[in-house]
Amino acid sequence: MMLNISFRNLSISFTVLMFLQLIGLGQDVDYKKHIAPIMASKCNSCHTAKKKESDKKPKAGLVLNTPTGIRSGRVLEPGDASNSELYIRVSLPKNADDLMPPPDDGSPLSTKEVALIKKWIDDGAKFSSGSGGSLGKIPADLDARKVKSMPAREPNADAIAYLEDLGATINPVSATLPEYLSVEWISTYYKITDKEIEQILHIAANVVEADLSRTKVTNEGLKHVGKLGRLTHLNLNRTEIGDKGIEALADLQSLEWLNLYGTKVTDASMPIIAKYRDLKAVYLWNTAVTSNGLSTLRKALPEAKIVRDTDDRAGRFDNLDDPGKFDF
Amino acid sequence: MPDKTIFNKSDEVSRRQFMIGAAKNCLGVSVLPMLGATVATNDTFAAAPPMRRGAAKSVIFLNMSGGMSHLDTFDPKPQNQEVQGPTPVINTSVDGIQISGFLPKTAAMMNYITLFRGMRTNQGAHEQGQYLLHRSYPMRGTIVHPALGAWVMRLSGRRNTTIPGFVSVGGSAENATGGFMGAKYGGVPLGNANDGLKDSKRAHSVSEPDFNRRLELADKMNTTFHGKFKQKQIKTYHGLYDEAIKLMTSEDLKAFDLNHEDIKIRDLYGQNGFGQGCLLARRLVEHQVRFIEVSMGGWDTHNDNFVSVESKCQILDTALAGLISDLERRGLLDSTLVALGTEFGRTPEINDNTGRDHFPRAFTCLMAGGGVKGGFVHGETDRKAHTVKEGIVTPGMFNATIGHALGLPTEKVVNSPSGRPFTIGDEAKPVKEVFA
Repeated sequence: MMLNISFRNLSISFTVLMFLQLIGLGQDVDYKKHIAPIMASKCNSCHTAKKKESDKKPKAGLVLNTPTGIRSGRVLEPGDASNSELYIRVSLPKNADDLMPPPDDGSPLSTKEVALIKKWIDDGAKFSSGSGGSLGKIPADLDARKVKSMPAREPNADAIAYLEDLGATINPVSATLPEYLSVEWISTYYKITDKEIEQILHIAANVVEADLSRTKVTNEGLKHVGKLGRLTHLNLNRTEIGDKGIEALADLQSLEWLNLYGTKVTDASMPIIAKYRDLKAVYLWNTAVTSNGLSTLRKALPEAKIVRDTDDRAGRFDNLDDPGKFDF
Repeated sequence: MPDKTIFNKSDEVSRRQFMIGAAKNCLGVSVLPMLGATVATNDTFAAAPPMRRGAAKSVIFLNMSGGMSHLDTFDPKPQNQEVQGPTPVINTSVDGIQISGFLPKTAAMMNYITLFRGMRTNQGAHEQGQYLLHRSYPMRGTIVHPALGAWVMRLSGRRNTTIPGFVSVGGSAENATGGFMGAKYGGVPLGNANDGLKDSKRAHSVSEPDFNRRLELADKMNTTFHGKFKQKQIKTYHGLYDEAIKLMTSEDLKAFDLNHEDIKIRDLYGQNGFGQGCLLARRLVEHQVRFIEVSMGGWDTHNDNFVSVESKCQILDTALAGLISDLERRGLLDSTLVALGTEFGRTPEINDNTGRDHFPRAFTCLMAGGGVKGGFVHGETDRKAHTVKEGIVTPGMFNATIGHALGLPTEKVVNSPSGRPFTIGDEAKPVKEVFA
């Protein structure tokens, strides 16, 4: 797929190679240090997100001044610059119609800048500084209480970029609460393990909703989740977790919504769940939780919605001659 | 192959037809043509956060096409035999709310449902009524208004960027139009839930290495071609390949395949087109698709109303109760709004063919989940179900209410290309009383 057979491509590859040697690009290309400044000087005068209604629209709807904009703009094929619009469009010959920036209104990118973009994309187009090492170590003694006492300041943009590089989708829970975040793994859930989930702790003070459904999270991994003291919503459905994992969540006293359907939890978890005083809903369908477990929970949390199955409710009325008044 | 007329109004049709042909002939595969909508330009739209916390994330819109009789479904008048006819009336799981005896399973789910018994429209013909229901604006010769799903796409974006954010199952392709907003906000129309995304898999006759070799070959040829003809449209063809290949290998593609469902679950929704459409809708919600419409026709009961409505209700009852219960036990009902709409009601008077005719002045729609109250009735008709006594709700208000459930800015003005201002509900305000 990457056969650079045309003379033009060959010559570009050659120049790129030369420059890599000249500028000593053996080291990593960093988005913030190398790429963002190129965007700022060469692209963002046209491709910038609107800050207020009166701002002009980004050209072609393409936002190139934020990681989110670049990610959602379909201009990247991480690991493959030659198939990435962002590289293709800045590396065209000088007189090409599609060259960016447009030949007639600005200086084209320098060969060095093109080389940087190519290397950055070929290396995976990461927006964070590689391994997350620059974010500092997650304190080993972090716990739910400490997290809850930390101020929820503006979330760390580097940490968000790093988590997004790991496949997470991170959004404010509403437009009016920009510092409170939800973390989800929407199309990437099947490759997410405890290792990725641990990285959420970089933004522990900001996370109030976490959707880990269908990930490979284990009981061990829930020890990390148990430190997210501000969590109000936690979705663990169809994961392998069980009672040992729930034990690790005992300190999450802000939980309002807990989805455990399709997990291995049993009645043994009910006493811990019963202590979540703010709990409004818990989902236990397709678990081994028995009617006994349910009644323990119902007694302790009379206001909460406790759902094990609704299916049999619907079916129960099939054969009634007189449906009359239904007893729930 | 999906209906060719779908995009005839769009100038992109020739491009798509070209793509399908090329992909089929060269690669031994054909891809969903509608996908082109998502790669038509680079102008994508990332998800915007909702206006308030806890808003719904997805909508399942159940379109009762043909005009569903309100008396024989959700607004019976047992005290008035003359208009009620032979349709039985039953109690529900909520004290004081009675509905048609044709809907026993739904009656058991009433504690999850808000009824809008004060619906009113000013359109008495099917096409115009369906148009108003879906787009909040009356039909005009000079403009094509976007469907509700397109509004949702425009105001909030896709949550899952691998698959389409707006899917319409079993209805007219018109229901999925992006209108003046353009094809990229439009939906993917699927004919039949059981077919899934047609032709989105590698053909059996082509092995994977063969497929990859062909792709490489095509790519090689294209490199030369692209070098010679550097045009935007050609780039878009290439983008369509990439998008299609991304989808073919995507985990999310499984969302479209009902074969992954247990037979017991398939039975819960009913083994018919509408039931399986509702099941598909639930699967798509699990994959963060924003807006799914599922259509059910046959409500135009001018003749033999009572027999027809009973058989329609059997399908609706199983599917609707199955959908609500299945969403609830998976923990999806709080974040998923189920809305059921129809273009108008039917006359309280029974005609000479034991049928009922079109009746725009009073009818019933409903919502469940997505933050709306359960066991709640908004609006009331008079004793003959003849006119709305209180709580009038127009299709525009109903759509604004759906927008509000999703936390969208319902007052946000979007201009048509000619500069005319439009909002999601034709300036109507959401009915906030129905929210818990």
